Amino acid sequence: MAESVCARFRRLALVAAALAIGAGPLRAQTFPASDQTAGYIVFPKVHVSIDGVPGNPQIDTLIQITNTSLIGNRIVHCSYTDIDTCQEIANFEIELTPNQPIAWRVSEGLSRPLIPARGPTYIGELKCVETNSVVTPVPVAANDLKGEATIYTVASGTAGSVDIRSYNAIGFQALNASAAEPPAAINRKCLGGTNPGTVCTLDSSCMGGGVCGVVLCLGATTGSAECTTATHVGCPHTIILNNFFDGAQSPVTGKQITTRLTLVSCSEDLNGAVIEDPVQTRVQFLVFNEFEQRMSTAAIIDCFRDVQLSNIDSLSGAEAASVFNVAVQGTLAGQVRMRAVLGQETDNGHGILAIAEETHGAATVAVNLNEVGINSDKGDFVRYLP
Amino acid sequence: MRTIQGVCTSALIAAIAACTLSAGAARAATTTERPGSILIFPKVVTTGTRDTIIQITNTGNMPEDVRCFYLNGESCFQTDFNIALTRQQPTVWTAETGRRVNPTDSQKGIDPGLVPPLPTNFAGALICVEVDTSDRPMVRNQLKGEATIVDNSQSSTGNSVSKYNAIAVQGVSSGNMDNVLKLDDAEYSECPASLLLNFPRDGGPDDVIEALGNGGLCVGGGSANAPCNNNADCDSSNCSTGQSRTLTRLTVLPCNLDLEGLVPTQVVLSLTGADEMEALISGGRSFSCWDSFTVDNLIITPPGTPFATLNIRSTVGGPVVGIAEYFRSDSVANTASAAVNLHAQGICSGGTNNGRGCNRPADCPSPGTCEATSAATITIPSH
Repeated sequence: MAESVCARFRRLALVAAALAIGAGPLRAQTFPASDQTAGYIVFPKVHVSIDGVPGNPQIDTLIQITNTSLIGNRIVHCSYTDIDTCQEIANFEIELTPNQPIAWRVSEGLSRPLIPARGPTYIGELKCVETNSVVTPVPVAANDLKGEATIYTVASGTAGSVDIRSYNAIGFQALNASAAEPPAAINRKCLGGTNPGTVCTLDSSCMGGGVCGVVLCLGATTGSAECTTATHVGCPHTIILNNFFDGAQSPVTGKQITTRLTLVSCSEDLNGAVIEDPVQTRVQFLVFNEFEQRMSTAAIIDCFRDVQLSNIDSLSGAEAASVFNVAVQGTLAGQVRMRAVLGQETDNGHGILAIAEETHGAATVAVNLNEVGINSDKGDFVRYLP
Repeated sequence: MRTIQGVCTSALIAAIAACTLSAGAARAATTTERPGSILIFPKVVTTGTRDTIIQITNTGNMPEDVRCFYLNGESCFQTDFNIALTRQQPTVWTAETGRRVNPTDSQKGIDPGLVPPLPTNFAGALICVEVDTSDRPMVRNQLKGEATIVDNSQSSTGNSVSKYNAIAVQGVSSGNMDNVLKLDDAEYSECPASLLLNFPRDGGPDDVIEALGNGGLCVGGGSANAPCNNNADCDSSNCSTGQSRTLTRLTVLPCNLDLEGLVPTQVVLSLTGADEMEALISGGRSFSCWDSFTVDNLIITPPGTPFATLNIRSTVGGPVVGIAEYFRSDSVANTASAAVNLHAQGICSGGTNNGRGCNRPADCPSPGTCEATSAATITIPSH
């Protein structure tokens, strides 16, 4: 009897605590999500490859973003990234009215609002954050954005074809979402210099060559000058992919299946204000097959890596020797767990995000991956100059 | 009695302290991103031309027993079976053929259990629940899953493969381990109050296919009816463009499920949204047990722009979960598909925005509350 009374108390306490925790931001997430609206959204793979030759496969990406707020306009500041420099290659602002969706082809952009075209060839990321101004876009503590990317491969002529794959943008919710309308801004901070992390509105407030910029703190970092407190949820500790091993035959069509993984870093200094050069992140892969057998490998990424699974640990032409290949694993399905080695820096993080594209013969799908855990005390930094 | 109260009070304080201190850890949620205790696959089909591949992984380090239920969307009858997964084990089967326990067959790996095949022309859902060795529901939050819907028609124009993540309902506590699974944030996470969908206007044309692929057909000349992108593709004739097509199919399943009594849940959906010019669109749909329908002009007011957004909420029958499939085809019916999981959104309760989508309390003025989730119950057959 005593135990059941205590058990009831424990359950009520759990519910009460959960309700208390949830009384602030609406259903605040503590992990990135591709099925929740958010204040900062990431499209890990944006791809354009257009040569205009009839019959050749042409690749383009359709981006859709919606302001899901029903009561206020929202300004979205977006950056396309350069996968070589790991900085932005173009940025733009979009003002969306309440509940307004917008869509554009990456190769074409838009004229109103002005969205630059990225073509005829481009591969990289698109990062978008909810802000308060077109002129000086400072992030706000709000979570109204949702996004999807659809990557097309089409060919014209008698040998024409259509292939599409879609994924949801990965959303990082702003913590302590503002109750005000319009939502309150997140403070700008000095980046670099001798007083990094100091709240500022002008560059003159930042000493020793620092600049007044924006830093999204994806999780808090102990010992950091800029991000002792998180502004957004942190990156996941482990990313999980349920995959078919490369070279396996589809149990439905008999066609060969391969998987392409796009890995991007959570941290990015889009204007090089603090981190000028690409930072390497070591990613560890743990691979399980249907016999519960386990193998592992590792890879290094700068800020972006788009690679067929079997080429993570094997050279082109030698895929059959890869731990991601059916020839090695012997079963159709597998589980791949990916984890980044975090490092000791307090001004940069090593979190990773990913999406996967799975090809069955000539048809491709894209899928968002699962996550487990968060990186306590070791967050990520997204910096830009508004 | 005072001693018991003292003990219980200490437990209460400790529990609250533990909960607040662990606030940085992940809260239980219904999600497509994290492993859970209940997996919901809203769309499983075996038509003559499509089949569904199911992948489930035990992401934990404890062996896992799982009880699964195929729900026939038409009859609302269920077929259940059990699988067992060792730690970190992935498994896979196709809906049409199932999977046998036969270590010598061509399907390598530890067979998880006897998975029954589904008849042709099955359309419905799959629900899988973590259980203990006595088949009693329990919470470990170790399951993740995906469904891949594959065109197996072998036709020259069929190129359709779609993939979505199973919706994982995370468990909070195993509760009384009975056959009534309460999605109430105390036993299991609640379901989202509403769902969001971005979609292209039904019927097309599709901008990308028109620009880069076969958006048209040659009219007359030596290449009449040949696929084309522009006039240069046609022999002494013009290319009549605008013949690509778009279609979005929405599949929904109520979170309230009675798999024991086989009583279909009656649902009424309210669909509201806007196009790119902020023009309001609306519609509705009623169904029983499960539904899959095209988001077309019979369902909603046609968007005035190529793209629109839609909020999907249930006004009768409790919350729903769902997925969307986009279909695109060119002028000669080369077709491709892609599936996406839907976003979750709250619903204003009361106030001037009553019944409309919301992301935070401020979205529901004078005075309303933003309900992020909604409770439901899944009753599974007891043994």
